[in-house]
Amino acid sequence: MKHKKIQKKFLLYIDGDLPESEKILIEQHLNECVTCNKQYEVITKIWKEERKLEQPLPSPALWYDLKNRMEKEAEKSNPARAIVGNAKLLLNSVITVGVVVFAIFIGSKFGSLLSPQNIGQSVTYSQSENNRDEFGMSYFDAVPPGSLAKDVFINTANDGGLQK
Amino acid sequence: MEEKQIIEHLKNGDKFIYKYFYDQYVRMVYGVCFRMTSNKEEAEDAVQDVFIKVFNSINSFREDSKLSTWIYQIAVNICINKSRRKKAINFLSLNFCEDEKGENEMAADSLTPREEIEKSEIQKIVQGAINTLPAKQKTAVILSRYEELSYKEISKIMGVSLSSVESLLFRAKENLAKKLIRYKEIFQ
Repeated sequence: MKHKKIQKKFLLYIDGDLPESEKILIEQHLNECVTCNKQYEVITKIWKEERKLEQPLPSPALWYDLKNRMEKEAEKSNPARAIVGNAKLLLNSVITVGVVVFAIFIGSKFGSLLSPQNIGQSVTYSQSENNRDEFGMSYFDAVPPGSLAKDVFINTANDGGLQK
Repeated sequence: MEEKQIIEHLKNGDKFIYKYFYDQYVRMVYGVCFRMTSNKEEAEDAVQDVFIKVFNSINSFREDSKLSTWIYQIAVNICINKSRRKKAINFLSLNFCEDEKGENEMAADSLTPREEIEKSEIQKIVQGAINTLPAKQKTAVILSRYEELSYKEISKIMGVSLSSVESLLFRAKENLAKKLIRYKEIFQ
């Protein structure tokens, strides 16, 4: 029991928080008791070493985190700023929705012209139109005027097929 | 810049002083918050709370004590409230494990591996023992041992009498000694 009572006072003894009478009692006991003396050495080492260890440092980003938080809180507490902020958000949303609606409208109106079938037809039509212009053909001419192929075309049309 | 001028600028709401003020006091505030929470993230969260509280309620500072005493007061209260909330959450989620993550997060210097292990062990042991103390004893120990404040300053910060501070520190050191004695095998 005496040992436990003495051990309990070790930190107070190390820090010099005990009255002189108690200090003397502890010193006497430490001289007599090997077990308590060993324990006193260990606890002194732990207590004094830990005290010497450096203080932790805050992260360098902490100021920016604090600044952001303060700005957000200021926005919350300032109704005018909040209204402007909300209005900007609303305007952005309206513009986005408008662009999407316009894109859908354009797509539905002119999208059919760009379908593969229409693209094929228009190309064919415009190609034959060019050919006719180039060779001075009318719309109903099958071959260019004066072409040697004219007779062959007429013959094959009459015979119902190409013959040698 | 003198303390009076800083207070004046803060009371006038001069925002340019915020960074200067932060640089002057962040180490002090972080030191207390880290010791009180034993966790880096929680300490940084508490530091933000402390500065926001200081900036928002500087007009309630009556200047009858040092500015640092008032800041310590705010820091201690915020950390104690956070710890209470954490305990309640842990209780509700049936998680009674102590979060000691922050205890090993101190900067490493040039020590041998054995010294490094010993150092981190010492930190764990002492911080772990301090964490088990009742809130008032823990606060008194941190302010006295790590912040090296006088009993008078501690009594102002904690809102208790001088004799209460003495008694809290006395009991805290008795409790800590009982806990630290158990580790004798590690260091023999």
